[in-house]
Amino acid sequence: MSEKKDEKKEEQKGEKENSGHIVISPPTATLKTK
Amino acid sequence: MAVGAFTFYNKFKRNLGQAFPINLGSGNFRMSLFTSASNAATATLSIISSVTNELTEANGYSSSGKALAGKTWTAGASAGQYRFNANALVWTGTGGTISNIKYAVIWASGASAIARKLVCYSQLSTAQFNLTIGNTLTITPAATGIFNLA
Repeated sequence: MSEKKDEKKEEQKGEKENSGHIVISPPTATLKTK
Repeated sequence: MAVGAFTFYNKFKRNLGQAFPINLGSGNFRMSLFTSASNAATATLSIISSVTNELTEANGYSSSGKALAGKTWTAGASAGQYRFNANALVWTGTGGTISNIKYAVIWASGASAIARKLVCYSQLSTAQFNLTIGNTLTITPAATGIFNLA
């Protein structure tokens, strides 16, 4: 049980520090002409 | 890490038809990255030199940003739409951490500062983040492109 908690903590830490490969895909913009 | 959609600068619309027009078809475009202290989300900006607080040039980040390779300006979802798109851009933390990344800004390449017009930006994350050494930041346009003229 405690091991699982530790894993979760590590995940949160990783996200906070943003280490590792990062992939971001911003949604498309639309310029409307009509 | 909420990602914001690409958002046009107001003057991009004006600059399509002004002196130093933005040539979506055969022009060259670049993407630069900015910190949370930047004014990159100010819609009234016109040229890239007006955008403050670019990332520090170090560890794999160049202050001139990266060229949009594989740029296309072609019919989109229908013949009545035109789509601006490009390949994914990849930065790698080289020799250290690329720090304080929050905004990506697309701008038109030009010979002079006044010609380097802004196109659009995306807030990549709610808070700025770091790219640690050896890791990559990939900014991938959506399947529907960077933007469409619809």
